[in-house]
Amino acid sequence: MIRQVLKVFKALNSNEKPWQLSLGLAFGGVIGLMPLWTPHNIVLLFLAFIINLNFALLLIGVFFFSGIAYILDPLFHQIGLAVLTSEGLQSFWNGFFSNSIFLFDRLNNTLVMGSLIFSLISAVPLFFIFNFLIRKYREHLMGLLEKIPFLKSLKLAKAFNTVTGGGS
Amino acid sequence: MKLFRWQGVLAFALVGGVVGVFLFLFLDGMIERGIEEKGSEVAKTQIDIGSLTTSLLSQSVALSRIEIANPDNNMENLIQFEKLSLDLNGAQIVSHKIIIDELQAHGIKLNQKRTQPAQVIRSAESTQEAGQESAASQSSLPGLGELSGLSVKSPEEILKSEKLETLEAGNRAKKTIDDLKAKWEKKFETDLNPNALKETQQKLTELQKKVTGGDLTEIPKALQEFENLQKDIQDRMNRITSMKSEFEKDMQMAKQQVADLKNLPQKDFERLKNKYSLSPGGGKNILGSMLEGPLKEKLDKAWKTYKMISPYLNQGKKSSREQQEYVRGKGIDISFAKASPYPDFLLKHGDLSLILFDTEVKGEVKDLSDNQTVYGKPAKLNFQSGKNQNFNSFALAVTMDKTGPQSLDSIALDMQGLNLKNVGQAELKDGSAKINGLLTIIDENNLNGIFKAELDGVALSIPQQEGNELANTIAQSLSSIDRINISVEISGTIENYQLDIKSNLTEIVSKAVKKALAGKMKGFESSLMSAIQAKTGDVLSGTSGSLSGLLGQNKILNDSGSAYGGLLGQAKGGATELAKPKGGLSLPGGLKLPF
Repeated sequence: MIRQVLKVFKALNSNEKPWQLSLGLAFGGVIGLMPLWTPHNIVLLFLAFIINLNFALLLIGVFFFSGIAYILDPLFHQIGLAVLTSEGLQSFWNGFFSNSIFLFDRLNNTLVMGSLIFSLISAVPLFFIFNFLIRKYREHLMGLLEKIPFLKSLKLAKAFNTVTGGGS
Repeated sequence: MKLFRWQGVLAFALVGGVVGVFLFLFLDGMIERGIEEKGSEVAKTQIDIGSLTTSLLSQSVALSRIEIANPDNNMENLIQFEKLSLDLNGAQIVSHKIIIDELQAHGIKLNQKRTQPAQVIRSAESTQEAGQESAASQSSLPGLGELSGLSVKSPEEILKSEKLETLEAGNRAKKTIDDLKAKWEKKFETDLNPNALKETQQKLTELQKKVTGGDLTEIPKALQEFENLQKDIQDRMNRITSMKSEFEKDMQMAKQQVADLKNLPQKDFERLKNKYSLSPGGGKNILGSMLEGPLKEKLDKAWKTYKMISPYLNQGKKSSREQQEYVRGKGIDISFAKASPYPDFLLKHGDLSLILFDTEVKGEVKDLSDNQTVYGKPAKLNFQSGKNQNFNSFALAVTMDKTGPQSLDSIALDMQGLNLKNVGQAELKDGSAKINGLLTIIDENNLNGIFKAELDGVALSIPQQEGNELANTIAQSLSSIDRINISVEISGTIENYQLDIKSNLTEIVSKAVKKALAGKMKGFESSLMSAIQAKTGDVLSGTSGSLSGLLGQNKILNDSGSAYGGLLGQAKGGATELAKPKGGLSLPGGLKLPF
């Protein structure tokens, strides 16, 4: 846990641009909110590999938003059910799912469809919110936090571990 | 700072490559374990796979030594396959559909013993029982082992376990009579109070005294009092008459109940005699009890398997969205008509090879799907074989039609010239059999069918059972026959079905029973009657005693009626005397009345 916290601070205090960090978290949110073993997650993972985003924050985002997804599961189901069973969209879905690749992606599942819609829509505001927060952190808090002895000691402990080869 | 890091492609390819190599090395094992674990969970019985090989290029799977354990007997396999190979439709796998274009199943064996006990055990008790049953069925013909149970119980034993109608009706009648007795005793206390009679008597005496006093002025008043007293007595007499009528009705009812008891011991005797006496005419029952139990045991097993399989072949009924249930973390899959030309599971064609009586019987399965309403074709399974060392011909046709609103499944069997030497029954030494029949199951529940077996040139050899004269006599009579016809008609529902068994053995067994039991049954009948009489004697005499007691109460009513009748006579007499002009009635001062 301490390692994760340190990773966050390390990323926040690094030279990386705020958009890289917030994009990592937003990608993590999208992947974490959806059922993990879906083919489109592989596509997202591929994008995460080639886009210059912070991978550590992506993993933290996946971990954090997976917990949120469990809580929001019934909501995702309701969204997916409403979209997939909407009378007006039936002809569209019939054509859409005549392509096997979308069935393979399990987009006809209420949970997959609901969580995909929710995560894609929420990814944009999440990106901007994270971006804003990171900027504010760097402007006002980064300098102050650097001076907190506890965080300093954490940094020292990490440095000590690195030197002695203890811990991970 | 650049938006893309192209070296990420390499990293992704590296990760993908590692995953690919891992799957290539371990996919077969993972699928094998998945089928064994998940399949066992779903089927509620252990599934073992010897080996599994997949080929992504040819989109095929090959399995060997597949064993599905019998859920009721962990030492037996319900079905096992030596080799199984499947050619899958790869394009449909992408749509999460398992479409098997061609299947080859070799070395199918039913009910084979396992080398190691299966892990899925429902209860140790049922396993033990099943094991014993299996052992019994291996060693003897269905039902012939039941001969050992053909012994006559003693009347005392019978009466311990049986309820007698005489006793129940006798106790009921006694209670009714005792209640009536209590009711009338209470009524007599309230309505026929002895004090009331005494008071009336006293009133009358006082009135008579008053009149004899000779006071003329008192005459009209006395007359009035006489009239009042007469009215009062008359009311009481009317009440007694009404009570008499009611009592008479109650008496009739009590008498009827006691009279009804008279025939009940005989009725009980007849019932128990028919149930426990192995009468010479009971050959049919004996044959029924010999064959019905083992047949039902096998049929119950078949129904269980049928019920286990049926839901997987009838997903069409569940496909409407309303019937799907949302499960947290899983959601529900929505079907789109145009996008799903195939059901989720379909076996288009399969070649089968079944090992029956150590002989290979070839067969095929067609259009086996989990949703026939989508696929539109019923599933068909056929096995056929020509002449070999075990039978002249064999044909089995199974159809499972769930395309319509009502499911219609059928099984037709035709087996000619089955060599009875090789069927594994110790008692059958020779002969051949012809077995055929048709069973239909409507709506996966309603049964209707008939199966016939004609055994010709049969030589039965049933071992003697020490101390069981009846069983030995029947066995001896069966050993002399060479032709057996049995027809079994099945009707009802899977939960509650009836078997109507007819056979030429009925007459043979009947004769054997007659021979063995001619003398014995007479003694049994007389001792049964004596035991019934002894057991019901107390209740019957008690009931009669209670009725006598009730009858005795009639006297109280009669006595009261007579007493009030006498008083009424006296009161009437007194009033008449008073109203009569009497010459002797003296007026004050010696005056005479002018009239």
